[in-house]
Amino acid sequence: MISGLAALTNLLFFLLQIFLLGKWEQISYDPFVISFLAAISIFCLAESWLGVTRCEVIEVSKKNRVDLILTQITGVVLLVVFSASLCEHLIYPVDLESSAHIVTGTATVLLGVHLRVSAFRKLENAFFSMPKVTVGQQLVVGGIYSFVRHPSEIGLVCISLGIVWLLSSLLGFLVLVLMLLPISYFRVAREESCLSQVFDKDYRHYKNNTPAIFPILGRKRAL
Amino acid sequence: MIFFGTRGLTLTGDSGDFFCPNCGSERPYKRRKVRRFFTLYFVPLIPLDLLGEYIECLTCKNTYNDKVLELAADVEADRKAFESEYERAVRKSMAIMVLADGVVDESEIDAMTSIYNSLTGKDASREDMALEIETTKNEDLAIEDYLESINGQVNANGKELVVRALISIAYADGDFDEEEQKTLIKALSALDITENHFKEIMDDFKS
Repeated sequence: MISGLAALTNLLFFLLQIFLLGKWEQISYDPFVISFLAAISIFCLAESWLGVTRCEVIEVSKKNRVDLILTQITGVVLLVVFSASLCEHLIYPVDLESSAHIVTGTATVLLGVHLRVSAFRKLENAFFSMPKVTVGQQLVVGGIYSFVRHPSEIGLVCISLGIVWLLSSLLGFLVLVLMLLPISYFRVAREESCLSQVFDKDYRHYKNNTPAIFPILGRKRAL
Repeated sequence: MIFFGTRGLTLTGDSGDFFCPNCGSERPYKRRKVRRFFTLYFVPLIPLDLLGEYIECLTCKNTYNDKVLELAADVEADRKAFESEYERAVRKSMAIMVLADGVVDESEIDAMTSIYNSLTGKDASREDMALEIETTKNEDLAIEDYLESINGQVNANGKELVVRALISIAYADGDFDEEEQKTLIKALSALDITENHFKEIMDDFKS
């Protein structure tokens, strides 16, 4: 029910945006808008399905305030990337050959969703909104984590990049580069610091043998 | 970070003064509610069910259920008998830990009584603890299930005291066996205690 509610609310938000811009009829003939709505819905359904069994209770304290703020900002910035891209496309539609753009854009979004789903399924209860290691938690280096250290962050960037590419949005691209990437970098740095502190030599070994973002194909993974 | 789904948030409700059983005098309090929210892009949008609610004394940070507001300052027996949420949690958690290895001996009951009284400032008897162990044995409760059920009634301060109690009882007989270690890890995970926080508590315990 939560997944359905999330997808519906998300869709309604963007439909409202289209309506307020007076571009309602564009839904029926613009393949870019249709693809955008479909891609966003898939992202939302996958994400909310992952979270359906978990309800993280966060108690704000001095120790986690910065991380909580970063997490909140990331959510809002993501929304801004999507909204800005959609608005720009609706107001200044780009005359392009649609199919290649739609296919590659949607494929990039789906890749991002796959990365996030894989990361969550590997970490399970160790997948938190903020960097922390609970007692008894082991360092996860297998599965998707044997290729890259931060698959969920890469997934997030892929989803954003896919949407921006799909809608050929310069504004969305600027928000992504100027806001989402720095915030993601900062969040990744804090996570690495937390993991290094707890797992020490094991994490250092993992870090030295596994790339952060771009997997090196053909290279033997040190597990 | 999951962008769409649910998240629990602790909200502050009404405030005022109340008679705190721990402080033994009038103290300011705040009502805290832990409520599940439906979130979109990590922004809490729609409030859902209530996960827990407690009265927090702003002086000693103890948490209590609603009934503490009805407590009369002049009834000594009521004041002494009223248990805060963390005191209840400490008692129950220690009982589960004691039952972890399947054997309950007299020294464990003595240790449990001593630790409880030391942490809470109460004057519980050996018989109270033995009764708690017996009740808990019949309930057949897993520690992680119990601690998850009280997550919305105990604040961070209370959780730390529960952890201290568990560590104290685990080391009480000098033998921290495998079953006790597993139970402690499950408890720490259920209370969402991080490795760093656990290290701080252990350093403090050892000193």
